[in-house]
Amino acid sequence: MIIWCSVFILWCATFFAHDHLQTHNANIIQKTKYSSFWAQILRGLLPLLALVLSFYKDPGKGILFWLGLGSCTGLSVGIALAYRKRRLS
Amino acid sequence: MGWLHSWLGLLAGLVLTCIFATGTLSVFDTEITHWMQPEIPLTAPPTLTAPALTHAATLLQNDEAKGTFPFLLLPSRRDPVLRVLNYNGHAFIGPALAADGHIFPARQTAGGQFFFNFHFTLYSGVFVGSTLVCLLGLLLLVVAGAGIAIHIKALWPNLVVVRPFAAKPRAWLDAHLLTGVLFFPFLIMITYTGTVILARAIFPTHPFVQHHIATSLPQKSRPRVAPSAKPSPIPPLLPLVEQAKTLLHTSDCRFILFSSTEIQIFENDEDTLFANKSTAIFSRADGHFLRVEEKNSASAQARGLMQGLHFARFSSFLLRWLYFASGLACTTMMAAGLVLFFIKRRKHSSRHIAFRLGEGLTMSTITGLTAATLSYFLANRLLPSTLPARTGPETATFFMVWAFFSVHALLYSLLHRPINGWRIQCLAVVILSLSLPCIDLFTITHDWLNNYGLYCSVYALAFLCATIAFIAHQKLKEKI
Repeated sequence: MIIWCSVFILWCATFFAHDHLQTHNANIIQKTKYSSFWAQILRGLLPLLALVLSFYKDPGKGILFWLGLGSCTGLSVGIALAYRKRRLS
Repeated sequence: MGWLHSWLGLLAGLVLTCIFATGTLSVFDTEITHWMQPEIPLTAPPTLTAPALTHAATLLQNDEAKGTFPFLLLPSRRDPVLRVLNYNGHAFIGPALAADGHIFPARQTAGGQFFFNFHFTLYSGVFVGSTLVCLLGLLLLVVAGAGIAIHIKALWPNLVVVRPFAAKPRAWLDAHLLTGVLFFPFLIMITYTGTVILARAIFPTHPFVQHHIATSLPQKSRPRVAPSAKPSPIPPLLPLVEQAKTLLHTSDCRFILFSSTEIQIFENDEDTLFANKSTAIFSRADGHFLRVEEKNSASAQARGLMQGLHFARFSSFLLRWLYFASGLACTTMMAAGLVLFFIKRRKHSSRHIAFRLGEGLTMSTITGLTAATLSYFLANRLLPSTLPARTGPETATFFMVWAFFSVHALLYSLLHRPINGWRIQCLAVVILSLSLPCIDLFTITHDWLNNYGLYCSVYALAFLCATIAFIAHQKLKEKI
């Protein structure tokens, strides 16, 4: 269960980093060169780390966990970001 | 591509939404059956005993004498009771036995099997229904491909963008895209595997396959035994199951099939992605071991993987919940696509009768199917538990409620009052959803300490359904 929670958190961070880098957020969220650099790094590395964790016990089911948790996390992050942006704007 | 995605999506989407919704419920078909048979305690560990098997064999022989083909479903972690099942044309139904061999006085129900059957046959038989479902699966692959081609530019930057507070077409499009893109791997996997499983319905067998079957099957070399008029008595089954476990190198066996001359014991495949069940076969006359049939060929492995990925009979509870959530998201994506189709065209085409019919059918698919599903669950609690042939009235309730909601939806749509129709149906869904936990609590004595997860999950899903329907009802006050 700890592994799957970790995969969920890693996917969350990935989607937040991905959204941080998009141009449509420019007037809501302040971006710096430093934060964009780290967001790029996180967006590239965290899904790979999540994949490695998912493969730890059973690669066959691991890929299903990785994709399933990724999709559900993306949906949750999308809804959370919508509410956050509404509050900020 | 836009035209293809919109029109093919509308025509196929009306039925595909139903297929995905019932498929999503089928992920928990065993658990739904447990909920619908509250008389069966699920607290005992899955143990196979000689008295239970002896009584099951007697019941099975009685059924065989009536001309049916029953089989035994052995206890497992997910379903810890022994069941003697018969196929009634739509579902596998039959009594459940305790470890000491007595039959649980459970109400007769199709349970989760009903949704499973509807999912792959549309409740219209294996030939017609499966062919239609297979064709729709192919169409869905085309529609999904066209959808990706249309939105390819915005996919990456808008990966997690949803604007529920924006104008209505934008909000519905975001909901359609968000679920469609994030769950695209699941959508393609589940559609592809489902279509491949049913492919025999539409694709003729290749001559190579026929030749391969004719030359490779071991039955060819076996002496054929003339079918006897009356099947011989069944030998003690427990030693055969123990022997089968040793022969198949497995800790569990899943079910036992019976022919007039043979007993086939199948291994349990819950712990693997491959739904390949190796079989130990024994003589029915005296119980001596005949052979083991292992499905190790490349084609059997590929088929097993397709079935394993699609049927999701995994022992992992989390993985089954992920399948459920993904199925729900794909159903939402299709429903959002259907609603979006009519929102976009309402201004220019709302006077056309085809538009009004289409919107009525969409209403019937989205709110009507939800209400019918809730009614099926309610019928299980409200119909007398001792009613003979109970599966008939339960299933009839589902279709009658759906027909009523469809007529209501079409009437309101044809009378140019679709928004009122949507609002009334949403309100009906709220009432049905909230009445489910209440009626369940008043009609059943719950074994809360041992099975609270099952009941709490059903209540939570009913409240979620009620909340979504209530929000939709409130939002519909604003003009679409």
